[in-house]
Amino acid sequence: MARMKFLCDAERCIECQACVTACKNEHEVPWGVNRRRVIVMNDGQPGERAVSVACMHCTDAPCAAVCPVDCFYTTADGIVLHDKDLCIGCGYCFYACPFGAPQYPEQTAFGVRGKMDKCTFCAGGPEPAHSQEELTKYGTNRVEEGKLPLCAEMCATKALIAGDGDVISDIYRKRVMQRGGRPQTWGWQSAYGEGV
Amino acid sequence: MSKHQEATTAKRRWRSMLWTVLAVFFLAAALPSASYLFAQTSSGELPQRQFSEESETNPRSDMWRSARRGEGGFTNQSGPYVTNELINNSGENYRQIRMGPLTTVGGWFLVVVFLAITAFYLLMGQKKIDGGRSGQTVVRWQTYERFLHWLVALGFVILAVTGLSLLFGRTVLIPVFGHVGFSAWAEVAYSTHNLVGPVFAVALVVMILLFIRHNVPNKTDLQWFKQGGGIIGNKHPSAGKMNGGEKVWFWVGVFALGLTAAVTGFIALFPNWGFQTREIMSLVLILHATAGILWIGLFLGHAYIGTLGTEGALEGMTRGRVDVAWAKQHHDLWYQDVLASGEKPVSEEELKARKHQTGPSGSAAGQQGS
Amino acid sequence: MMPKRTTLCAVAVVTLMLLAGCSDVTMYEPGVYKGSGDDTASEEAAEARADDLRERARTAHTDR
Repeated sequence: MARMKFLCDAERCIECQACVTACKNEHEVPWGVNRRRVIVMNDGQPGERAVSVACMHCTDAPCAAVCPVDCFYTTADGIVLHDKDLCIGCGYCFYACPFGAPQYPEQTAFGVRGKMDKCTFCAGGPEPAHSQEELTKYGTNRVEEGKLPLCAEMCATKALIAGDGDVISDIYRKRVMQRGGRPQTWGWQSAYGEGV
Repeated sequence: MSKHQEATTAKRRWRSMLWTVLAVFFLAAALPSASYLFAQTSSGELPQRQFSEESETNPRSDMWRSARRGEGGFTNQSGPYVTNELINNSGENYRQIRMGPLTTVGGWFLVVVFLAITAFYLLMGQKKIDGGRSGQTVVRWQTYERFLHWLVALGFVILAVTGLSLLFGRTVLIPVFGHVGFSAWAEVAYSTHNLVGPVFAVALVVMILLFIRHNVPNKTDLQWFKQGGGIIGNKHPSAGKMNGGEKVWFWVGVFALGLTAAVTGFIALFPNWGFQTREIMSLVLILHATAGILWIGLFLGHAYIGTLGTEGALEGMTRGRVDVAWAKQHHDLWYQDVLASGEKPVSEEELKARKHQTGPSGSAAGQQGS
Repeated sequence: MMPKRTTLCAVAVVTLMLLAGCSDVTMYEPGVYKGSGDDTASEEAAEARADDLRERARTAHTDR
């Protein structure tokens, strides 16, 4: 059984923001909601690295654990999805998530946030695949078509890679062997409880 | 052209070539070193750049280290819920506390308190008024005091039910209603909790200010606690308007836990104030739930003693008048004060007669019915 | 004898419960997710797309 994972190779990420743009465009994500974002550490200093971060689809997802209405579910290949019909917009998943992935379309007084929105690994939601409801609530469903998340597929430097954990760790391991240095599978310890 | 002219031209060429070569050598050494002049004059203004050869640790591992610590970076994306941290370390703590002790210990605490009170009632029964009612009553709470009390009480019950639903609903209510049914209720509970909360907080503060003068601790309370409040047995320790137990409910429950819940509630309710990081929010939510659970536990005791537990106690807060026998038994010092202030106990017949005189919308006493 | 108001309240509660029984409300069965189900989350669906996705990862992410 495949286990879907994201891996961002910080040695390759050039902070071009193409993954962010691709995601926004593919899923028609509203203004102010960012399913994916690029964070640059030590910007303009030696040791500067950029990492593209979205939902990492954790094995033991903290968001799913704290959700008061239990609206999260995990597909058989490890993609963490949620049901927007059940979500009450309480914001608890945002406080529990290590990666800051859950996003909300509104921020007003009285804590009204709207339904939570996050990266779906381009796998839609509980509605029938490719239906209009799924499209408006969660965006397109590429996984069902046998395609991987668009952010990773169109990454120019192939820094962001997505897919079955075994396959992408193979690819990454080969790279590290070729170029030397230590593997830096950022976020894997927190999300999957293991490195490459 | 003469030979002499040719010789001078050649000499001039040779000389200019020599000078050019010398100038090249001189400038090659002088121009680059000229930068020392600028370097020395402006060294205080330029930032000291840390190159990897010069720093003690590897800047790349420093970067990963600070990322793990949760230090922020730079991000182009903007939005109310976009953060610049690679990792949020407080999240796992929040999850462990909320799904661990808060739900398990907190839940069982409430169950045990409820069972203990039920057992106490079944074993000991209601505390009766010694020698029965006298039929004579005195005023204990004014109308505005009772109104405020019930306003706070109504808010409390609504907030307790909705708050408990949100915390324990997943364990207790989803198995009954299913996901869709519970989600519908959770939506209502969530908005109700958020809308009633601020109103309740204001009413709570007013009530604290109004009742604080009755709740100043004194020596009588010490005696009251020494005798265990007369809960078990037939002793009745003296008490003023409020006895030791009621003062504990006021200071620990209403004041400390109530204000904690109110302050944390406001912080959680208005994320748009802007200072609330995820760490602050999760801490505040845990404090809010803890204060709420403890307060509900105390409230169960307060509600039991005020209604089922003590004969003649509830009417003080419903119709505002208490039986003289009850007053002598539970609040003897207060009863003496009432008599000293010149108020005289009134019998039921007299009250009825007064009511007929003033009409149904007349005086405050005896309006709230049974 | 019960006071009038208590009796009325009890009658109201019982009536509401009886009325609820008339609708097609079914109680939750443990382990059965009654929310909108996701066909793409099942073992079979994941198994069916696994090879395609693996192949795609190999072609998309390796350096050519």
